[in-house]
Amino acid sequence: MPSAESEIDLVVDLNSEDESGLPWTFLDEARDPTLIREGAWIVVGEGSAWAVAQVVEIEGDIVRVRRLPGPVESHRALLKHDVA
Amino acid sequence: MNDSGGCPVLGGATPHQYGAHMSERAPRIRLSAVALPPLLVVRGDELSRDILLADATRFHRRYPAWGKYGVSALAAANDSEVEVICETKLERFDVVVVIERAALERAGVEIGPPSGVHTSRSPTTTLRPSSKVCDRANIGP
Repeated sequence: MPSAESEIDLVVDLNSEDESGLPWTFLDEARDPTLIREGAWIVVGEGSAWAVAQVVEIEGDIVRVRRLPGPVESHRALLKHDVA
Repeated sequence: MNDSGGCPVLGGATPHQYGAHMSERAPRIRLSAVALPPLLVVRGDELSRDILLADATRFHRRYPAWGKYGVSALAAANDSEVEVICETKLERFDVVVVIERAALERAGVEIGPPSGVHTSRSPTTTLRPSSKVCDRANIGP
């Protein structure tokens, strides 16, 4: 399995949840901000926990994601950096 | 570290009346009553200082009007709720840390925003170190 640091597109604390009920972070936490578009499937996480997630909303510099359950490998087909 | 600031109190409103905007600069306050005080607090991953510091700094940046540092965790009333949390919200974590609320409070960590209300959807909550804890850990602007 690739290391988390090399694969994470967006650093998100998967413990977090704001008033929207979704994990959130800042856009400048992205490895490549051009990948962070609403609807895009990306790898999110921090430390030893990461997951595939869809970018739900970008408001200003705040990004909210909805993560999928299960390991990254099980959703690998989604990770072509296409917008759904 | 500014520990003297407090959340605005939104008297007279109910949660559905207070439509928080995503761009607001202070945490939204949940006005509904908290059913029971959680006895346990669960946080995914090992307690890495670097990660805790990064998350706390992100929280501080997100809610500048609050002027506080905090990290997210989940509250549970008992072991069964911890199990549910591990199987759902924290299922991506290989390790979780479960801490008794009383132990956190003894260490100077407050749970949730002031007045015992939540900024997020239950059971997610916020752990806030007191200013003394921040000073000891050399955290703060």
